[in-house]
Amino acid sequence: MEQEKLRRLEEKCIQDCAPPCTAACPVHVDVRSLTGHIARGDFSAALKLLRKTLPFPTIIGSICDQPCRSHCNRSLAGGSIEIAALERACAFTADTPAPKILVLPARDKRVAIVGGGLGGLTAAFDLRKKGYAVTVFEAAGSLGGSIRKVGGERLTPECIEGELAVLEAIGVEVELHTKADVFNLPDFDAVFAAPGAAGGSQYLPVDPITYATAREGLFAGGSLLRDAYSPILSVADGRRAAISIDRYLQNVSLTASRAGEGSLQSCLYTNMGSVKPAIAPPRSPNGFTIQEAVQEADRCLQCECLECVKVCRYLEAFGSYPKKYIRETYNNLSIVMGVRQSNALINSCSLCGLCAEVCPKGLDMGSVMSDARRIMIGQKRMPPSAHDFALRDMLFANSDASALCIPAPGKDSCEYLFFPGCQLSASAPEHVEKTYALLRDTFSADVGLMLGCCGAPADWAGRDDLLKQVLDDFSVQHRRMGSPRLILACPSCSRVFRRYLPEVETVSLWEVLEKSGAAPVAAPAREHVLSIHDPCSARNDGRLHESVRIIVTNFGYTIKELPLSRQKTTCCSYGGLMWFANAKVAREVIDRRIRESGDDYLTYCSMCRDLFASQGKRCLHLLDLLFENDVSSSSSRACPGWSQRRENRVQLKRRILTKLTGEVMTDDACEHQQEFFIAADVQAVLEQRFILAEDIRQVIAQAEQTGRKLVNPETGSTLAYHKLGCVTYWVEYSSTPGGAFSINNAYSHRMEIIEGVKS
Amino acid sequence: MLYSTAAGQRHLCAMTGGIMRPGGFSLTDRAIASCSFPAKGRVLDAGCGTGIVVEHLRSHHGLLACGIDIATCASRPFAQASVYSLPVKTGALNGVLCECVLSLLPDAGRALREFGRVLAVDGYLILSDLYDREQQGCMRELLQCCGFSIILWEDHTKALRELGALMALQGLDHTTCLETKKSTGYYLAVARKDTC
Amino acid sequence: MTLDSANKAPWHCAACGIPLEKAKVQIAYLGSAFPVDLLRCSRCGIVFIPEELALTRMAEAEKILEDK
Ligand code: SF4
Ligand code: SF4
Ligand code: SF4
Ligand SMILES: [Zn+2]
Repeated sequence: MEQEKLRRLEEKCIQDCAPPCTAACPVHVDVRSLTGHIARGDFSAALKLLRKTLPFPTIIGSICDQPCRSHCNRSLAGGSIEIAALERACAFTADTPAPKILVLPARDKRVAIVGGGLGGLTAAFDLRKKGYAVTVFEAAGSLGGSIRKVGGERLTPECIEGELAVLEAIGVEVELHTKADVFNLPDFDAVFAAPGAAGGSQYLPVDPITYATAREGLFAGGSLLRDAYSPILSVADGRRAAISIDRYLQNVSLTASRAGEGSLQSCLYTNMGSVKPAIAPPRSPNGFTIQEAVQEADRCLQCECLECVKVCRYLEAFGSYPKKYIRETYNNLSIVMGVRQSNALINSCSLCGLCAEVCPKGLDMGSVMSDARRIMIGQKRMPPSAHDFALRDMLFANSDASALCIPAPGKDSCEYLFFPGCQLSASAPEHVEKTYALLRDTFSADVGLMLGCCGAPADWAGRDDLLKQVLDDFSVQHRRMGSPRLILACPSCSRVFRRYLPEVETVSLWEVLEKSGAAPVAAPAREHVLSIHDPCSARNDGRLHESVRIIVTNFGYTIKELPLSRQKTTCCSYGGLMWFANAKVAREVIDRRIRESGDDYLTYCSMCRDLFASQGKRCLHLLDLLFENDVSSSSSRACPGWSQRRENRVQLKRRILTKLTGEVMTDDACEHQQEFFIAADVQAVLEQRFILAEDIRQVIAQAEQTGRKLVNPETGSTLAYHKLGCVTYWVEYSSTPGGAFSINNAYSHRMEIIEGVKS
Repeated sequence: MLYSTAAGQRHLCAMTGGIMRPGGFSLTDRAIASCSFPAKGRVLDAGCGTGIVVEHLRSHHGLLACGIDIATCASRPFAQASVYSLPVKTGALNGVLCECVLSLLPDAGRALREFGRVLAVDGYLILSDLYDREQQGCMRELLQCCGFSIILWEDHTKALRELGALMALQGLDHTTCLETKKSTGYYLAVARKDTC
Repeated sequence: MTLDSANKAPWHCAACGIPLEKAKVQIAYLGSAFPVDLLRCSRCGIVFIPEELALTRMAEAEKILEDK
């Protein structure tokens, strides 16, 4: 079940894991949040947080032996954070009244704690809070045990009394000067023997996980079990015993799920690559002053992973990180009835796989979102608006108007078949012609040509049905050509064929050009520096990366690599149809990428080139180096609009047919077609609204044929609407003296008009 | 009230057939259908606004309905009172309706306990309100803590979205009034007061 | 709840040769239907949806219903 798979993937993301400091702390103080509060100067919040885990923060802050420190990631860059000193600083600085501690309603069970050291007192505190009646028996005349010895000057008796007063406040009973016999306390339901380092008798064997002894209801732990005194381990002992005693008294398993207690190894990854060393500020003799504490806390790295979020604008834009996203996606998919909330999250990912490259666990959000789309489609819950423009464009590229498959001139089949891909044909149709000619001249006379779309948009949209259709049609044609080897110019086509038609042999155009010597061997060096943007679908194609760089260098250019390139390259925002599902994030993705370097970019995917150009980046396609004399003006060539792209494909097919087969495409429909003009400013608006010239033609044809249209008697202009697919298009137009129409405006919506036609 | 300004309320009112909340009367009717009220059962609409639901309960369900609201209105024949202290005798009612009110209260538990007080044993509490779909357990637990057994719990977030869409179509700002945090949803619940 | 821009719109039905009149029209999306006031030809039922309605309010409503 795919939803099961999503659940397993969620486990992979380690962003939620405790940082090394917290994991190593025997009671898991949330050091990262603590230093966060202190760095902001909010000592009250810091102390409040500390009290959540530590019953006596001032005491611990003063004498903690800090097993956490040696694990702190800062140790690699200037020295570990002074964690205990910060705890102490906030205990002394915070201006908060004594906290009101919540005690649960009384339970009729009594617990005896024998030994008033840190361990015993922690257990007393925890158990009292849970509602048990607790009595502490201490042989000496005061509580605290060893803390009074190790505390030294930092921990005055007044301070200790102050901290321990909380026990009385919550109703713990204390019997001083009382040597209780742990084996003989019949009035109590459970006993915790917590002898301090000062001594006490040896008990029965103790279970190291639960601190249970062989004797029913008797638990034991404390410093005696260890060689050296450790205040924080004593606290942890007390806490562990309290958990066991609570479970014992509630009659539930003592041993279940206790792996999370005590010091642990952190599983959080934190990239230390760009961390600058910084050392701790000098400390005043009495501990950190406010200022020093803030300064020291600021040194904390706030350890976290987010490797993927740092490089992916999409992940960042949704405000969280993969573990949360997968959960959200999972919830979204498992809602059988009712309303979804994460469609935008699922449809905005570019499926580029960069996250998997940078994630320490190799988690690929792209495949998560791709699966999720397929599940949504299977459930018939994919909103139609997400991908239909791109899918219609794909169908158009494979329609009779623009698709073509011909063998080499004068043959019935071919050894090689050049497949430029639908976007190269749409963006630079003349380059398709020139490349085809070049291939036949320099490589092999036996090269055929196939124009069309590989089906990538269907794959990205999760539409397996459409993908299969495209691939089946392709296979029929391919066999008709004698199953030739494919020469591919577009890395997305490569990905699709390799993945779904592994039996079809493919080779990249760039390798062919490099090896066949079609590109120059070594041109004189030029001033011009180029940064290469590797398309994301070529991420794992190391050989291709090399071929491209060899060609570019042979043309005499100097290459300056982008920080994220080759295997770690980013997506241009076309991948995964992000561009259609979330234009806002897509524009940010483009913007971020084009700012990475001031140099002109060069890429080998026409969609990458066009999208970068659409936001003003000077960017070349590799074919520009081969075919353009004025490379400088090519790099600022505008991105053709959607209508233009279609038109380019149509014209390309016509030209090729005429040139190579002498066939002239007859287009009867053309004769009857109403001519219309679109001014440039109107055209720009239409592009933005994803309205094609073809849509406009159909609306006008329908209106003029049926007479169903609106007229404005003042201006004489006409307004008509027509539903095409799931979109209703509105076109406002006027007649020109020549009998053609000029388009004034067009807009569309998806809501359907339920017309109550009156008879 | 989902909308805090008077003008907004008027719009919302018109859009939802006067009832001013997702689902209109259909959710109320759905809830009543799952209760077995005695004929002429005594029912209180806590936070009744203009009292339109009270009218509906009287005319369509034959209930002895009345309402209270914290806001005064001279033209309304309903008592002004707080849901925290209802002007009703202990155990006097067969049903309490509270729609789109709890989520606005600082202390929902207190109101629920007050509803429990005025309801007879086995009386029904009908709630419909916004909730955080990621934490739907909270409300259910609270009901149980306050002495109710849940007999119906339904998600009606679609109705909330439809109201949002309708408001958007009218050019109203649906974001401020519907708090469209992604996980905000809408529920309908019917609970029975337990024997103490 | 009036659509001011719609009321002022100058459109006439070309087929019937009469001005459009205000009417309640249902518009629907993803299984939910909503009444809106639109201008409509009382004879043949052709309606007018102003650009502003399509691009802002309808688009917003579509988004809400799609959970985008
Ligand atoms: S740098 Fe901060 S968060 Fe990271 S391990 Fe050290 S104290 Fe913990
Ligand atoms: S890289 Fe991203 S997905 Fe991987 S563990 Fe880190 S936060 Fe999680
Ligand atoms: S856009 Fe690319 S890097 Fe970002 S989550 Fe999707 S697949 Fe991963
Ligand atoms: Zn008409």
